[in-house]
Amino acid sequence: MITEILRLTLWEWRKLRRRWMPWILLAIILVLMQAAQWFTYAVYHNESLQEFTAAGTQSFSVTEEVDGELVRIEATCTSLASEGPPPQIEELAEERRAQILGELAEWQAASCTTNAPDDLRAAFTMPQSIAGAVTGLVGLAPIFLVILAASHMGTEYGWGTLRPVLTRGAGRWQFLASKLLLLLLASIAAVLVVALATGVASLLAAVVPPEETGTLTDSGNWSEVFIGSGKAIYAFAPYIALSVCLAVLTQSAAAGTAIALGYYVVELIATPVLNLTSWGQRVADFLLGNNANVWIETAAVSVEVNGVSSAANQPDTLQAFLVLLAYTAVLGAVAFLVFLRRDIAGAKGE
Amino acid sequence: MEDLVIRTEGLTKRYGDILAVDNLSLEVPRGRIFGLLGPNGSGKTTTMGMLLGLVKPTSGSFELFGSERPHVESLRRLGAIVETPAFYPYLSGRENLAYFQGIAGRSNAAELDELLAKVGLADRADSRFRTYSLGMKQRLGLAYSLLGDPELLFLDEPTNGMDPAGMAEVRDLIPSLGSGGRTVLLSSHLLHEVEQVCDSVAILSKGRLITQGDVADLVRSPDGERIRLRTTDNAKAVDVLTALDWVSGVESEDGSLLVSAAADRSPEIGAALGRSEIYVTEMSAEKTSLERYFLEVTEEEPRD
Repeated sequence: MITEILRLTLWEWRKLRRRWMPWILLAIILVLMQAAQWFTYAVYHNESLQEFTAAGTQSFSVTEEVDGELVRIEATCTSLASEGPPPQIEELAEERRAQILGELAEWQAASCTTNAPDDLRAAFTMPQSIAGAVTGLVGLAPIFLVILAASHMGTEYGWGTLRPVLTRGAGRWQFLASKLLLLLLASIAAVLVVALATGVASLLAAVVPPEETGTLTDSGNWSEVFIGSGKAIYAFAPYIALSVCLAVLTQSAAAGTAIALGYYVVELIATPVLNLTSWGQRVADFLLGNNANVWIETAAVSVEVNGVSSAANQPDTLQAFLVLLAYTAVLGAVAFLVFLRRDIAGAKGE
Repeated sequence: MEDLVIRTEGLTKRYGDILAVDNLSLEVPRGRIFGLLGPNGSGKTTTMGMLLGLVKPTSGSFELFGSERPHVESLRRLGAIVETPAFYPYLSGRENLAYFQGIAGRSNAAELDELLAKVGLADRADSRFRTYSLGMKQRLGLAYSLLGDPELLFLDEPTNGMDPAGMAEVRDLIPSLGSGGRTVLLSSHLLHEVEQVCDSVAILSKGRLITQGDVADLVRSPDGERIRLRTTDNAKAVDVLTALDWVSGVESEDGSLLVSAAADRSPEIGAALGRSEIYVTEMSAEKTSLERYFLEVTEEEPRD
């Protein structure tokens, strides 16, 4: 049985490698990851860019009532560094002013060190650069993985090739298992390629002008690379299951891709909105993307509400592990159930 | 009992309100070229789909090679093309065949060359499937179905989309496919195609089995067997033949006599006429075309 699945997986790979799509998707991922890495390198060597990126991405905001009027107190990392606390803070009562200054100092310590030179340097120096790249994939790769997985399964319906495959003696569940296994292996390969490319870029960054960045492997621990890679691949599994399940349900690559991507985008938008209310937070705790981000320890897109980040309202890692497992198991089971029971029709013309 | 490779019992498939196959009981003996004949929508492809495990029967049962349900092991012993052959458009003909050979756990490049040559695709073997004409796709489908030298072949409308020359080639090829004890289940709505290449036939209409039997038996006169003959003296021959107990009638038609009698009485007819010094110049069992028979049993009017 295992031999059968492995043989089918091998032939699925031989088939997949002849398609343009996986290579194009991998190339786009590599370009984006490399662009991010070299942008960090450029920021590290350019102080004005450091200020710009800090000011552009981090802000503190709180609204207070003073003498019956609302006063908005805002600060950025750059404004704090150059001008100190915002002047509106002087309008507050002494006790409240001390409290806000404390929160501001706490926020500055947490947020305005992100682009500190040491952090920037670590982002393109091994092994931290590789660990950062593979964990960063969790935010980016699902889009590409969804397209690849839905296409890999859905085109079998579109081309009508399930009939010759299944009448050639490939068992249904073995065939679907080989598809899922291949997609998992492809995501592992993508992680390896990204890690390798990031490593090569780190080596280049260490030797090219304007200055050497020091030793080649002096940031972080190599264990982070292996743990991060493993966690990233685990986080990809539910996306593979989701896409394949949708492709099987809709019997279409296009519909499977569209629905899976639609879910990804809607969830991205809905999570911060849901976090505005307590019941919404409970719902968000069980959404796929939110848990994938927690699992990989990449903060979700956060919204600052009265100085409180939505990222603070995320589920814990154990819950994330279990939720991802549940998504993979349930979506995978539905895909198998439907694929095993449904009649196989001819080409649907995609 | 005859060795059956396919046996169905009460096989039924319903799609909502539509009864695609209705209580079909069929027996396909080993080593025969067996035709599934019926107009479009008569349930031929659905029947093949059920036998191949692609379509789940609503009720009824069937056996392939004596075992119930199409197990992987059973499927490995057969080859099939169902409707228009579908292959991976970005792979060449050869790569497609290699893939299907590979997933069945085999690897034999010589077999691929041989099959591609057999179906006349050797020159285009390395072209991508998406560039093939419909006729070439059918040929590749035939090559695919022959991978692994199967014991049983399912050919669903194998000449569909082919030009007349290609159709003739495939019709010539099918009898050779049935050699060596291989069973061929050929589905077609082309009556003359089935008549030309099949030994046995099952006629389906609206999902139901109308009749099943040897083509030779089915194309005999439905009014009882008749023998067509020409003699040196037809007028005298009519008198001689009508006097025989086992002849139920004699008609004249275009200079021939149509004698209503069993075909195996032919030697006795010759002897009786010979005793009256009437000599037979031509004698054959009278056949009706399968098309005429098909239209009669399915109660359809001939198309212009």
